[in-house]
Amino acid sequence: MHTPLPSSTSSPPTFADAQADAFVSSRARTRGQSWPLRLFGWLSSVWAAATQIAIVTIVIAVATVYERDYGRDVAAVMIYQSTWFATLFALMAMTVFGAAAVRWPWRRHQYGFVVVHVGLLLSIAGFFAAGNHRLDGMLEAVPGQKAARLDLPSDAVTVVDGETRLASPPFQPTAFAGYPSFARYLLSPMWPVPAPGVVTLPAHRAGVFERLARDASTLALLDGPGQPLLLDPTRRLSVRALALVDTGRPELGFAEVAAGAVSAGVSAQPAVLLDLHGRFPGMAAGALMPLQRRWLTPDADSVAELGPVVASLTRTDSAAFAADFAATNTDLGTRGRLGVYWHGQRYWLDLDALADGTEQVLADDLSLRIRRLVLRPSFAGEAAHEPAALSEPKDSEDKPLSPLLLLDLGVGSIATRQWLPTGVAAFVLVPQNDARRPQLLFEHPALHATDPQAKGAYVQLLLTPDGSLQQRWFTRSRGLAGNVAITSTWQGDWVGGPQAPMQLNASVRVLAHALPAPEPIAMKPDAKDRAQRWLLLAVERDGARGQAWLRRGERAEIPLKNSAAKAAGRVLLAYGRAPYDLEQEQGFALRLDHFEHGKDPGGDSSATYASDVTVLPKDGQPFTAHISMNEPLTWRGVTIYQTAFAPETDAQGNETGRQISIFTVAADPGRWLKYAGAALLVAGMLLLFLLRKHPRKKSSDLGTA
Amino acid sequence: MSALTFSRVSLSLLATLLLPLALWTAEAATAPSKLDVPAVPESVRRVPVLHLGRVKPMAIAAEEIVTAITGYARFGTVSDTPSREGPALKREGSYEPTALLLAWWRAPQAWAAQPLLYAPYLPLQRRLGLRGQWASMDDCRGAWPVLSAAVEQKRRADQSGEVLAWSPTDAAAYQLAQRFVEAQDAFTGRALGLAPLAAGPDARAWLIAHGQSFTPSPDETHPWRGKLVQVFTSANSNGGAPDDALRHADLWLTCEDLMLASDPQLADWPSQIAPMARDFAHALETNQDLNLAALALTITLHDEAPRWQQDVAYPSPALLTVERMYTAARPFTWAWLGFILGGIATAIGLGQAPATGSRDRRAFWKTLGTTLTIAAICFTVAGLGARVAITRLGAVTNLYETLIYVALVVGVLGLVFARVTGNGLYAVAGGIGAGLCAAVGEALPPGMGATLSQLQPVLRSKFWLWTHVKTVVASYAAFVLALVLGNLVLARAAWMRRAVTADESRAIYRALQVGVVLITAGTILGAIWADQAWGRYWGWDPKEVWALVILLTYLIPLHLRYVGVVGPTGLAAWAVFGFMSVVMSWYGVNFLLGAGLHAYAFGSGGQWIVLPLCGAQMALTVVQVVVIKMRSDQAR
Repeated sequence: MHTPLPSSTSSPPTFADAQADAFVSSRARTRGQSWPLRLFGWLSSVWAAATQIAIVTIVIAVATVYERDYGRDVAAVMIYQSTWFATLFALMAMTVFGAAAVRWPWRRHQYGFVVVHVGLLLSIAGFFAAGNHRLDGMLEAVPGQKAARLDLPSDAVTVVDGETRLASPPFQPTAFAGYPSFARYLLSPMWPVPAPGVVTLPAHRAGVFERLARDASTLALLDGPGQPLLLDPTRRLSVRALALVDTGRPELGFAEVAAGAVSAGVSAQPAVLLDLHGRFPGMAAGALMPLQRRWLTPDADSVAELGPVVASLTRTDSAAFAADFAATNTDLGTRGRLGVYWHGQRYWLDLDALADGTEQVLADDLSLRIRRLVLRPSFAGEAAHEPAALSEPKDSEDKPLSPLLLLDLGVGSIATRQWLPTGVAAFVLVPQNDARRPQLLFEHPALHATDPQAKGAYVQLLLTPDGSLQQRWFTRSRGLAGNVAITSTWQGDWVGGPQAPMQLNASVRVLAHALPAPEPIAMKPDAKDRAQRWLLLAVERDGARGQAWLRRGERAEIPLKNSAAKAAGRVLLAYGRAPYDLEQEQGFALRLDHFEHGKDPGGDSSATYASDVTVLPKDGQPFTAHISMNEPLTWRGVTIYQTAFAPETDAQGNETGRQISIFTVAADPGRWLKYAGAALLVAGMLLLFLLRKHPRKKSSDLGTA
Repeated sequence: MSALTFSRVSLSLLATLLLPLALWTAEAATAPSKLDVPAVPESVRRVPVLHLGRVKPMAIAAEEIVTAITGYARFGTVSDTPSREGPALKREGSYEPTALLLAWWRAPQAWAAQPLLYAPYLPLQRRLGLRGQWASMDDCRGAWPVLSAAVEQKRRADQSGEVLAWSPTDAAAYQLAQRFVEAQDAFTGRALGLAPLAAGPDARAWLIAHGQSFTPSPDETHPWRGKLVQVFTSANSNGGAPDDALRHADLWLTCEDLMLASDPQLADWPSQIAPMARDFAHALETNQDLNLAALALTITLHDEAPRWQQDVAYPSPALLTVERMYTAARPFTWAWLGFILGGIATAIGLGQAPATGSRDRRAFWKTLGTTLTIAAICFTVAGLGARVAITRLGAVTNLYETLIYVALVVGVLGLVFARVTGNGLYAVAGGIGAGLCAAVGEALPPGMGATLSQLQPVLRSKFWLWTHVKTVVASYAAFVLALVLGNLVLARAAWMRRAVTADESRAIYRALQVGVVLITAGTILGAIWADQAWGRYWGWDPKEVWALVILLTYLIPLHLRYVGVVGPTGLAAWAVFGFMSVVMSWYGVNFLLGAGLHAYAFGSGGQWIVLPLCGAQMALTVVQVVVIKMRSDQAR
C-alpha cells in the first residue's frame, strides 16, 4: 500500500517547472516603467485578479444571505444595483483587460487565455451597456382590451392631469431607509442588525428618515401651458414597522425600532398623531383652530389622504387610553365601561348603571343622555337597531363587534347621536356652539374584550369636505366591515359644506411612548414591496408653492399658494411604479384574446400557462401570436414573456371567470454583447485547457498506459 | 372479434383457471375480522390509475398514498404497548400497500378508529391527546378545530403572500390536516382516477346526449359533474363544439364514482369499465371473489386502454410494466453498492505492488473494479432511463435525481479519465464518489424526489433540462471527482509522509478543468434559458449567484498556481474546500437560504447532517495539510 503509484515512476516536470518558463508576472513586465504603467501592471497581476475574485466571491455569497434576510428588492437596491458593486466589476474589467494586454504579443499557447479574457470583457461590457437602454416592465392584459401601459420596476413621480400623463420625471430610488448597508451587514456577527420590521416594546430609539439630496432631485418640467413646474422631493420615508418616538420636533416622526427588549405579548403600534387645523369662513386670515387629531398607522386603511377626504382616525389615541383599552381584558369581564374624555378630563360610567333615558351631567358644559342602550350578542336579525348601512358582518368571527350603544351627547343645546360599538375604541366628534372645537373624545371599551377579534376592530370617522361624516368600521380579519354616513346629524351644526370650503392644514406630532396594540406589524422578507413609502414633495410653479406627503401607489393633489398665501391652483401628482407606454415608445400594443391555464390530467398541478394575443402595430397589420412559458414573442427587438396570471374582477370585486394575463416585456440591447462574451468565454476555456505549450507527450509523463 | 367480446371470453377463461384460487380466498375469508387485510393478486396491483396528475400502476399509487398518510410504505395496524410513560403505539402488521388500500375501502368505519395518520411531532401528540406517533381519522375529526386553524393560517398567508410565522406545532398540525384530507380521499377512493369519462367518440356522444341530466345538486360531492356542466356551459358561450370541449376537458371518474358509490346515472355509459368496477366494488364489500372481480377489472382496463389512447395520454402497458419493474428492482441501491465495491476493488488492485510479482492479482482486482463500476453504471442508466420514459422529462428535476445523475457522471468520468490517462486513481475516486452520491440519494426522505411526479410549467422544457441542468450537474460531478481525489491524495500523502506529487495534483487539476468548463457553460446556458423564459439574462438570483460562486471559487487556485502560491498540496486542499461552494449551491440554496420561504416543507431539513459533515471534512483536510507540511519540513 505504501508504494507510490506506478504513474509517478517517471519524473514529469513539476508544477513550478511547467509554469515557470511560461509565466512572467505583470509586475515584472512593467518594472522600471512610468508609474501609471506600474500601477497598471500591479492591477493586472495574478495577485490582483485572485484578490478581486475572492472579494467578489465573498460579496456575492454574503449577498444571497442578505437577500434571504431582507428580500429581493432590498438586495437589488443595496447591493446589486449599487455603485460600489459596479465599481468592483469595473475594477475587475480593468484587471481582465490588463492581464491580457500586458502580455502582448501573445503566443500560441496564450490564445485561449486571451479569448477567455476578451469574452469576460464583452460580458461585463454587456452589463454596463445595457444599463440605461434596458426595458423590463410588467404588462397586465385584460381579455379583449388593448394593453400598452407597462409598469417599470423603478419608481417615479408623475404629474397627472386626469388620466393623462403629462410628464414623468425619473425618480431614482435610493437606499431603503432602515435596511443595513452591506458593510453594516458584514459586521452583524459582532454587532447584530435589528431584525427588520419586528416591533417590540419598549421601542423609542431611532433615527428618523432619510433626506434626499435637494439639488439632485429638483426637476423642471412643463405642466400645462408652458409654466415650468419644479418638483423637489425633499424627503423620503420607507415604513416597514415603526414605533413612535418623541423627537420633540413638529414633523412626521416615523422611526426605526430597535430590536430586543421584548416585553411579553405586547407590541408597539406604529402610529403618528396628526393634528388637523382648520380655518373657517369668518375667521381671521392666518388663524387656525385645531379640528381633529388623528393617529396614522402604516395600515393602508388608516392613513390620511390629504386629497378629497380629509383624514381618518385609527385605533387608539393616547398612551393612557390605550393602556385602559388593553387592560379591559382583565378587569371588566363581559361588562363594560364607558369613558368620556372632555377637555382632558376622563369620566367613567358603568354600563350597568346606564339604561335608556339615563341623563348625566358630566361637567358644566357637557351632559350625556343615553337615548338607547342596545347590548346584544350579535347583529343577526337586529337590522332595525343598527345604523342603516352597517350590514351584518359576513364572517361569524366578526360578531363580537356587535353590541351597540346608541348615545346622545349634548353640549348646551347641541346634541349628537352616535352608535358606539363595543370592543373597539370609538370617537365621537361633538360640535360646539361657541368655539366649534370638536374635541370630545369618546371611548367605549370592550364588553367582549376577551375575544381577540373584537380587540382588533376599530372605527374610523371620516370628515369629508362637504361637511358630512363617514364612520367606517374595520375589523382585523376582513378590513372594511361597514360604512355609515352620518350626514344628517351634523347638518346645521357644522360650519362647512360645499358652499363654505374650509382650509385644512395638517401638522404632525409624535407620541412620547410606543403604544400597546393588538398585533405586531412585521414586514417580512418578500413582503418588502408592501412596505409603505412616502415622499415629501415640494412643488413650485410660477412662484406659487405647495408641499405634501405623497404615499407610494397613490396620487395626491397639492394645492399651490403664492407669496401672498393665496391659492394659486393645484397640481395632481402620482407616486408609484414608473409608467411606460409601449405604443408610444415602441410603436405597438397588445390585445389579449385568450388565456389558457393548462393542467395535468386529473390533477390540479399546472402544466402550461399560455396566452393568445393580437399584436397591434401602429403602422401595420395586426397579427395574432401565441405566448407561453418558455415560448416568448419577439417583435421589433421587444420580447414578451408569459409571466403570471390573475383572475379578472369587475367593479364590484367579483371574479368574472376570465383571466388577466401578465407579461414581462423586455428589450435588452446589450444582449448580443453578453451572448458573444459567453460564447468566447467557453470557447476560450476549451482552448486554454486543450492547447498546450508543448506538444502533447506520450502518456509517459502520466504513468503507465 | 371485438375487444369487448374478447375481454368477456378471456374473463370466463381465466375464471375457470383461477377458480381454485378464488375458492381458497373465499375460504380464507370465512370469518374475516373487520381489520383483515387479505392479499391482493398482482393483476389488481397492475391496474393503471390516475393519481396526482399521472397514470401509474395501482401498486405505486397505493404505495405513495400509504406513505403519505402513515409515513411508511408498508403499514398495517398499531397496538398499544405499555411503556414506562404509559401506553404507547407500536407498529404491528405490515401489509402490501395495495392490499391495505383495498382493506380501507372495504371497512372504512372500522379503520377510521385505527391510528393511521402519521403525527411524529411530540407536542402535537400531547396537544391532541394522542398515544403515539399515529392519529386515527376519528382523532382528527375530534381535533379538527386545531387542524383547520393551521390550514386557515396557511391559506391566508398564501393568499396575502406573506411569510408564515407559525410554531412547529402549527406546522405539524398542518401536516396532519393534510394527511387527514389525503386519508379521506383514499378511504373514499376519490384519490384515484380510474377511467377517462369522455375518452372515446361514443362516450362523448353519450355524454352530449345525457349532459343536461348531470347538473349536480349542491350537496353532491362528485367533482366530475360540476366540471362537466362547466364544460358544456363554456362550450355554449364560446360557440365551440361540445365534442371538442369534452375531448380537452380532462374529466376522470374516480374509484369512488365507479366502485364505491355506484352511480345509477352512469348505468348505460358506453364503457365496460362501469359494470366491472361495480362488480369489483361488490366483491370488495362482500369479501367474495375479490380476485376474480379484480381480474375482470384489470382485463377491462387493459382492453379498453387502446381505445383511450386515441385521445387520452395513457401510458402503454409496457410502460406500466417498466414502472412496476423500476419500483421493484431498486436499481440505484444496486448501483451505489456496485460503485463503492468497484472503487474499493480498483484501489486494492492499485495497492498490489508490481514489484512483488503479483501482476495477475493486480489485473484481477482492476478488472473486477472496472466490471463492478460498469455494472453500476448500467444499473444507473437503466434506472434513469426508466424515469425518463415514465415522466418524459430529463430526469434531473430534483435533488434525488441530480444525486443519481451525478453518481452516473462521476462513475463515467472516473472510468474515462482512468482509461485516457492510465491513472487508476481516477477509477478509484470515480467509484467511491459515485457510490457516495447514489447512496446519499437513496438515503433521502421519500418526499425529496424519489417519487415520480410532475414539474411546474417553467421547468417543462425538455431542451433546457437536458442541456443546462445536465451541464451544471455534470460540473458538480467533476467537482465530486476532484473532491474524492483530493481526499485520497491528501490521505495518501499524509500517510506516506511526503508532499502531494505533481502527478497526483495533475489528476485533480484535470478534474477541476473539466468542472470549470462545464460550470461556465452550464451557467451560461442557464442564463440563456432565463433570457428565453423570463426575459432577463442574469438577475442575481441566489441559484445563479451560487453557480458563479462555484466558478469563482475554483478559479482562484487556477490563477494562484501561476505565482506558485498554490502548489500540489494546496490544489488538493482546494479541491476539498472549494467543494463547499458546490454543497451550498446544490443543497444550501434550496434548503438553507430558502428556509424562510418554505417554513413547513423540507426547507430546513438536513442541515444537522450536512453542515457537521462539511465541518468534519474541512477539519480532516486541515489536519492532513498540517501533517503534510510538518512532515515535509522534517524531511527537509
